Amino acid sequence: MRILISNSSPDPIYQQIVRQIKGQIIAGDLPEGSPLPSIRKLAHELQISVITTKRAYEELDKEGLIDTVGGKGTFVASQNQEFLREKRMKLVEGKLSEALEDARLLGMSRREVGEMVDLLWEEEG
Amino acid sequence: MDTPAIRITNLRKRYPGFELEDVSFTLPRGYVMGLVGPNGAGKTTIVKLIMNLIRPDGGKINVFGLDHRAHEAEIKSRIGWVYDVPPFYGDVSLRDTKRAIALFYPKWNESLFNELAAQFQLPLRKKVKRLSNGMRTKLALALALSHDADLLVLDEPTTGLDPVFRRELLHGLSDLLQDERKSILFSTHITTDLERIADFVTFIRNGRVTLSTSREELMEKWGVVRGGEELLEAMDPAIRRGIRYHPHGVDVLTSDAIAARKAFGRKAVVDPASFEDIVVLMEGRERHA
Amino acid sequence: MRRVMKKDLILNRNIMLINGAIFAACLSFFAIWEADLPPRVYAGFSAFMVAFLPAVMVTREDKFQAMILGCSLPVQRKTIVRARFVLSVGMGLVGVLGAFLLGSFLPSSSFTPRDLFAWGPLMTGLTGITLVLSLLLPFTLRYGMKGILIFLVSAQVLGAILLVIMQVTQSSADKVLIGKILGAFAWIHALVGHTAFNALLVIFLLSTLGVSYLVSVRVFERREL
Repeated sequence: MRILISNSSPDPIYQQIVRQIKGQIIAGDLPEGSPLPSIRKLAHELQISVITTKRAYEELDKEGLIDTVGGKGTFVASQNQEFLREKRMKLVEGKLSEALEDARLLGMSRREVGEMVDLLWEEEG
Repeated sequence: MDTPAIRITNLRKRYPGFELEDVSFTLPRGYVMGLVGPNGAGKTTIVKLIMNLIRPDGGKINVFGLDHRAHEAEIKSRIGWVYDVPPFYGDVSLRDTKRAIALFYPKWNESLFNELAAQFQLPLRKKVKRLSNGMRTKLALALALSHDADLLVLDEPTTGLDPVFRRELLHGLSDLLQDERKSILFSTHITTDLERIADFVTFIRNGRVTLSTSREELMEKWGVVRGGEELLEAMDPAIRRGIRYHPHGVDVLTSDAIAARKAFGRKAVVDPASFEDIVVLMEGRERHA
Repeated sequence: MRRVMKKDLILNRNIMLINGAIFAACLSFFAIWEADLPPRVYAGFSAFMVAFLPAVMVTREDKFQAMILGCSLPVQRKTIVRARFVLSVGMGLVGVLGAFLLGSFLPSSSFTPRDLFAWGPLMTGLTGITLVLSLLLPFTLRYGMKGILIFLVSAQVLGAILLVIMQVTQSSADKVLIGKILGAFAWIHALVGHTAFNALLVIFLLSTLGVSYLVSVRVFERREL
């Protein structure tokens, strides 16, 4: 997990952390169950206050993205599957819309597009 | 609620010509607090009061939840201290100094001390008087870090140290805090040190606490508004905490940067307040000719 | 308390040895060259010298602000005082014993062991140490080296005042007083016998030391560093 924080950014540091971890979870770089560094370790690595990392983790916890298991540590939460899926579906939807837009501009018919999809699906195996 | 490492309430100390008045702050366990202020502000006095080298004229000091004088020996066995002037005998070797001090700490860790001494490059056989001030401070640090202290009380520990060592020291101290039972009180007038590790800060000036808060809150709520003098009228006096005039306008320290940004938008720059800004600007008026 | 004493010994080791050597040299000089020195005077003198050893420790403490070190360690101030007393008295006893050994066995010394290891010189030595330390320790614990100066200066001033008074009143009161004191001692001695007298003396010395200790504790607990 790589986090970059900027002191000159208008966003508070804890928010930067939240955003970056969230992004990585959504992108799938942090799969469900991955361990996260303790708040103190993270604070030490980033050279920031432990209060800041604590706050960031609290925020992520509130959003249901991470879980803290007492004594064991902090991990990426499992509900993410749904959330992730939704987010990713949205991504796919966006890309499909774009593709369909282009197809229409080109003058392709519904059937032609459907055939193209079938062909590509077969290719990907 | 965990017992705080240090809780100071209404501390008072009078000297001819200087007075510490109504000093209160709390260092929760597991965190680092910086005690910041200009020279002569009272930082060393506070440290001496905590260590019972001098007696308060009023107020209370609790360390680990215990009264600092009633349980003096017990508390001190858990404190690692470094003073701005290391109080060592000049004509005694570092090794003998260590031997004499190690006697008093039940959790003394000899191998750890030797590791630190090697890391800090301390010539153990030499006499203390042969050491530079910076090296004496390093000796004091090595001693303070070698008995698993729950609280480190450091009075200006980085003056006299080169920037590389300083950074390593601060990184090392931060590493120490991985153990959340440990706490550090760190007094300094070098604000950049604190930017690296402080969780809480207490600002002292002329014997009084001007502000004691967490770094989070500082970064979020405090700011410096820079612009023309007309800003002053436009600003709500309640959030105006310090002003500095200079040829091109004013810098105003504010305790509500968010409100200030809303109020001024493009007309002024609102920067986050650094520790230095607070030390310099807080409740002060400086005019530049 | 033992730890404090050990600490003081470790940190003052070299100086103690050097001073010990100097004292030994002085004492040897007196033992050899002063032909008609009464054993009691030798004992008193060596006690006096040795009792000032703690003063040396204190001077160093002041110079290096080492009391700050001592008081930052996990010990109560009371314990520091106790250690100081025990160490000082201990060193005093060892010093006087050493002086006696030196005086007895040094070749060409004018003393024999029987001269020195007799009740008279022994008690004189003991008394010398105890009285000097009882007076010195509270001052030094409170004021450091300054305390010794205060002590010496006060003693001088007191002495000067007494001299003036005696001049003014044209009396030889000092001789009379000392005569009276010594007479009193002799009277008690004759009254209770040798052993009892020594026992009483020891009790008196211990009480003096005790009082000095209590004063020192109170005074040191107030000291600001």
